[in-house]
Amino acid sequence: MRFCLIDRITEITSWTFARAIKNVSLAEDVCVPNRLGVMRMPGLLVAESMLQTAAWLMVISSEKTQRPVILSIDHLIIHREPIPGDQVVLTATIVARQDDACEVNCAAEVDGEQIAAVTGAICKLLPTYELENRDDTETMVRLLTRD
Amino acid sequence: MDRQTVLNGVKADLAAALGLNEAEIHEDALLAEDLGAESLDILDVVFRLNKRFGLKLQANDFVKYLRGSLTEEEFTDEQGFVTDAGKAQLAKVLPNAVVTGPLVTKKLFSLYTVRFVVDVVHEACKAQAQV
Repeated sequence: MRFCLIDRITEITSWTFARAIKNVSLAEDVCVPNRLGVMRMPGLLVAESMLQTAAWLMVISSEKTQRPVILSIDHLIIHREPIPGDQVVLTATIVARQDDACEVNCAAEVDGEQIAAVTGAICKLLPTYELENRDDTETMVRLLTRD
Repeated sequence: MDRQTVLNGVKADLAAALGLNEAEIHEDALLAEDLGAESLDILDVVFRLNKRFGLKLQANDFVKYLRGSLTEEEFTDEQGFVTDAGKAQLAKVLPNAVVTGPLVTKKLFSLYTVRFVVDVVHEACKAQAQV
């Protein structure tokens, strides 16, 4: 996977909650200069990180049989963008669930201060059998959870 | 819970999910053709309705309501088309629906009206109240 924006899943409760971390480094492509030339991780990539945390929560909870596709989000708030050296703590909470869909709220914090949040993300769950290489998913789960 | 309360809630949630003004939504409006909804929008609407009315509706419950007492096999043939018995049932539940020629079950969403959504939610509220 070339587009994984979380480094480690530190806590997971099936179909309920996940916590993950993303260490922001100057050496990564995700850090780009803003208009003032200050290197930072763009807010939309922080949103992607939060939603990837939610996605892994659903993939792992379904024992790798389902993967989410984000249909819509109610609100996205970006208070500030993380800079190199920040450790972003990402959380995803499933607030409602149907047979093949979940509603998720996510948050991102640095040093205990919320820097971004997503509320009311509607995810449709699709079967993983369509994935090109399911072994990659298995490998990624082991890497992220240190299992 | 009375039907008017359900209607008001359905209108509010449809408006929020589809980015519409509540005044644009009337009971006979077709979700797809008149309100611009796509079939996946029903998931968002159901989450909102469940929150508002404290229900545990699933998007699939709308199809179950359409089927009435018919089994899945009685409602749909092996090719995925609605059977004649199914069409007769549809005419009862959606009296204003215009069905000409073969109807694939995947296209059922195109027949959903606001009134139909209100009916399903109202029934679910009544069932919930009896628990």
